[in-house]
Amino acid sequence: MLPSAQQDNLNLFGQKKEVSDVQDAIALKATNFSHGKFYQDVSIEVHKGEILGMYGLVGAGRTEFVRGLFGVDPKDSGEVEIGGKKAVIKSPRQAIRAGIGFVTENRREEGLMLGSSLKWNLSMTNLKAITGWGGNLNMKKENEYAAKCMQIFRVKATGYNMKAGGLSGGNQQKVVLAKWVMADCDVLIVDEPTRGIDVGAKAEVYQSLHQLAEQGKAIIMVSSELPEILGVSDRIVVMCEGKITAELENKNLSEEDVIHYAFSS
Amino acid sequence: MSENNKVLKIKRRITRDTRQNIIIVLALLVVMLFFGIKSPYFLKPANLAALLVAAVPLGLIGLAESSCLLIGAFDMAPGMVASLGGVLWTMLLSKYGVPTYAAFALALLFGLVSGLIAGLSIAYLKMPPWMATYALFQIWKGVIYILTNGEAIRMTTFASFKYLGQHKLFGTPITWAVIIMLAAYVILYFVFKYTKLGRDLFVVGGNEEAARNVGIRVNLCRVFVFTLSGFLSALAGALFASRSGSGQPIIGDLYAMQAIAGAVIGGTAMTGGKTNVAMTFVGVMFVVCLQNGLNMIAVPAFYQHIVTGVVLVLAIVVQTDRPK
Repeated sequence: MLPSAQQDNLNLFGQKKEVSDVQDAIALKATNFSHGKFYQDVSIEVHKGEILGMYGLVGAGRTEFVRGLFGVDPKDSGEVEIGGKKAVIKSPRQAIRAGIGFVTENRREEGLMLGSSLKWNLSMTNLKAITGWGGNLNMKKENEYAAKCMQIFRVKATGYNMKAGGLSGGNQQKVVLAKWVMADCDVLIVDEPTRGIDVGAKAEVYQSLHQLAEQGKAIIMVSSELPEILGVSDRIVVMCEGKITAELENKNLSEEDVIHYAFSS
Repeated sequence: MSENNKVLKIKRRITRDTRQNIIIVLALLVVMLFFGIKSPYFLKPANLAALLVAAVPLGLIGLAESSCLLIGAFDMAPGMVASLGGVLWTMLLSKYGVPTYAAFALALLFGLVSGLIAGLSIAYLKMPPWMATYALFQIWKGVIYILTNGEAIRMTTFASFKYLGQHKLFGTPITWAVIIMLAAYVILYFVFKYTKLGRDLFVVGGNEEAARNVGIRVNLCRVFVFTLSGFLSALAGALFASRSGSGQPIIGDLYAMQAIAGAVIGGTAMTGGKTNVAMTFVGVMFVVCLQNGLNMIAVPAFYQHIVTGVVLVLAIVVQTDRPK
């Protein structure tokens, strides 16, 4: 690789400051997850302050696994421990209670209300924080919250009353990411966080993932883009045909090292 | 930083929704003015109050449909739930000697149960809302015929029965029924706009998958909305019975359709996620004014249908969002 290209890559993916003391604690431990032909016997561990990359070819069962983990889809078996405590997760609601967040693969279909304002899209993960007595919404708090989100994530829009459907893909993705990051979950699952967005927005997404990890959150990143997996994650789990084929420390790995496992089961 | 703040500042310009709503309100005024010119009686306060009185059943069912449309569903049942609500009230009272307001409460309870059945079968049996509620429509229609033999139940002797629908307040034609309808509008306006429950419904309608993924109990929202719809429908029927002084077997064949039309004229999206209760009221008044006004200027009945159809199309053309 040319030096200049390497330099560009470094800038794009950004870098995480080392966090040492929290590294050991296990944030989430999933054991023996199986669901029919989609995935079998998948077990993973994520530590606090760690970004775990899940790589595989399309159809390897990564998305199905994280959806099962978050309780969106049913599963045949599988146990979850979060922060050392066992958690029963049969629905997204329970997953959120347990401290997990999930940025879905399809932002338009599963993440956003395209016909509603950014404000509503941002606050929907965090309605509790702006709800007062008797289920009364505090509009002022909501506005401040939305403005804060948009400032932190540098969402380019005319204001928080703009409709989500009018944003560019990258800004839509930032909104989806923002709503989960601001919900303050311990474990964040991001599925294809940079699909179909421009380079600038990609860099900002990576930056916020790093920042989250620095704060001691655990991140599971599913991606089909190898440079992204190699550039961002601390550890890499490779899946092929529904099974985990490798678990690698991301140190001096080349693309070939990883791809190899994505084809062999 | 200051540039960022500038970007985030809310722009106080008129949005497309507001513009559409203004057009609809103006259109309503134009239609009323037109009828006022054609018939001097139309714009008199007495007739305007009579319009409100006439709008009570449709107004309440319009609210019911707005709530259903908000989560992207239809309720076809309101017409028959309303009829049966009215019939139940009158029958319990006249045939079984149940105290007036106990019978009233039972009629409303029937609406709740009917809506609960619809909601549960839609949420948990995954029936399409349209089919589930149409089935209920048919079932209640049959029950009404069995109970009444297709004849109206006249209530000549019960003064307390007629109180809600006929007792004139402050010497105006306004009745308690109108007050109840307006109160329902005000309450739901605040529930939809300012409570977590209301916001949950908007999110479910805006994107069901997203709602589930952020932990909103989508099925519970569905059950709630249809139960509310059943309750409002029965209330509409009972108030209509009180006004007409009789339990009418078939008042509501068209209520569902007219109410949906009213809600959509008021800017409620058929696809869910968008409604404005205040504008639903305007939409319902639009439909009611059209009926009343066309009668008043003596347009022959067959032509009334055509005029109504054309005007509805025009109103909905205004309210439809089209990509530019």
